[in-house]
Amino acid sequence: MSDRGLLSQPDIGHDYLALTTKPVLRRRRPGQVIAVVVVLFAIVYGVWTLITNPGFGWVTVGKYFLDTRILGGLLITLELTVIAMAIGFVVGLVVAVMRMSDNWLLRGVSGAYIWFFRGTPLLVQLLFWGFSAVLFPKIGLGIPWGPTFVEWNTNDVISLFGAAILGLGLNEGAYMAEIVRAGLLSVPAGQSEASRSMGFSQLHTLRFVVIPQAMKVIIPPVGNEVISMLKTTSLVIVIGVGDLLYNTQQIYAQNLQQIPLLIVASIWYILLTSILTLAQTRLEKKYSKGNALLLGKAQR
Amino acid sequence: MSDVKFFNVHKNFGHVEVLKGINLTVAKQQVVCLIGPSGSGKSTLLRCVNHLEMTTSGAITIGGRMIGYDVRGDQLQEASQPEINKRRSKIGMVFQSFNLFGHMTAKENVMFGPIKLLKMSKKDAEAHARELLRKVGLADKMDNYPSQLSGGQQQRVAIARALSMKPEVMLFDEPTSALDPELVGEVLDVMKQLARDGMTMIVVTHEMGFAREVGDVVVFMDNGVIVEQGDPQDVLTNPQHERTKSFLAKVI
Repeated sequence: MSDRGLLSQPDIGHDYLALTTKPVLRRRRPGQVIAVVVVLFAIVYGVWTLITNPGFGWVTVGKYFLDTRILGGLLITLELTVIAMAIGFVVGLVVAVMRMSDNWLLRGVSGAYIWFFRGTPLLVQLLFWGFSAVLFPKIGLGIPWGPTFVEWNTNDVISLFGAAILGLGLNEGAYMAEIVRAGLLSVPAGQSEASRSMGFSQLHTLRFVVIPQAMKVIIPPVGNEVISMLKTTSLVIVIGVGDLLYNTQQIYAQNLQQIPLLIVASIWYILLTSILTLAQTRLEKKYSKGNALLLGKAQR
Repeated sequence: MSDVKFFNVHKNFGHVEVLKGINLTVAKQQVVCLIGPSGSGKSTLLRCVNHLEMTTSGAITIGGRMIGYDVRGDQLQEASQPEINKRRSKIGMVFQSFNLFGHMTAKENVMFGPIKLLKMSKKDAEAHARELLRKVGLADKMDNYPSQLSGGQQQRVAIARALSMKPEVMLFDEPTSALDPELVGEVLDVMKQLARDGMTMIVVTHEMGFAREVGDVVVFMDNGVIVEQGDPQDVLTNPQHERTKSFLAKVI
């Protein structure tokens, strides 16, 4: 009630009409001014350090930036990212569809898959695939408990690169499954019903009606996953796959220029992340077809 | 056009019996309006016609043929999925919430079925879609996405989409219930035209005026059974059963 008392006290003695000739000023924000000064100072100091501290070794950075070993490692990193994400997406789609099945066994198996691969560290899974030859020394085609038709040594078939792909891809599949499931659930049931009532099969309905509309929900988190995967691939260093970070490490193990070489690797990672971010924005636009917010409802 | 016959149709959801033995004949080119309180089973009955819901027992035939089932010995068995899809494409359905495909324009919605299922060429499908959209009065909205259309316009596109499959029967599940009152008329007009063109139609509706004007038969359902059916004038103005009387007293 005290507020009321305050308002009821009249401002006396102002000629309000005379005050209308100039625009209203914004409130003073002294805190913001201080913050700007502090941040600017930090930026200037940071840049100054980058330039003057010889430990950064910018000359070395320049020298190794396009080194063939670095570029070779980069290629491996890209391959790992692309293939692991492709496997992750396919596995994720299948697991997500299974998870939404009427059949309790399919639901259970997909649930267990997600539970297992999200529940154990990726690093452990990578090591596991790296050592898989211990568990299954030979891989073959045949009938379980029956005859085997062809057989290979595991180490010949599953290279370290293959083990890395399996580890990254299967792990990604578990996360992707949840993303895809959320996307599929975001499409109203009436969409499938309309499609089914026209005579479309479940698969056609999924492919032409549900997935295209789920995409706008799926793409932003998938973009995140791709960007995250690009950097997560550096974990394959533990099983000795020659990716960007591994090769970087190999070089600085010889010349002991750790900091400059790690900067080289970081610049490449950040460069690729920026490109991927751009691509993501484009893709999001493409799949927002029919989105009321972008089209504008004004045309009604 | 085909006739639709219901033979002692039962439907349970778990322990709840939603349809308790429905017998009904919809003749060729007839318009049958299903009315009744919510929960009476009329929407479920409609959804059983194109097998969106599976019946517990009983049979429904369209032009003498079952949609979701085959005869096996002395009982019915659910047909294979491809077979159901094929038979289902002969029945058009219009939903309360329109359910237009949101990522396709009005025209693409109407072209989708003919191209993918009837294997029509893109050019023919487009000409067909233009003609249908013109018929429902939306010649100028062909390239709009559903989100750019009003409810009444969306529902008219949905009718055009159902017609694009050249159906023998059209099912309408409360087609105007989600519409603003001033948009109801434009949808009913399209449906009236369809009835005049001789389409066999089963319409679940709360629009008593439409039932009276367009319906050949009005069927009043309550609690999973058909309480009363007959000429709309008779049923709506001179109902014989207490339940029909009390329902009509509330809605008219």
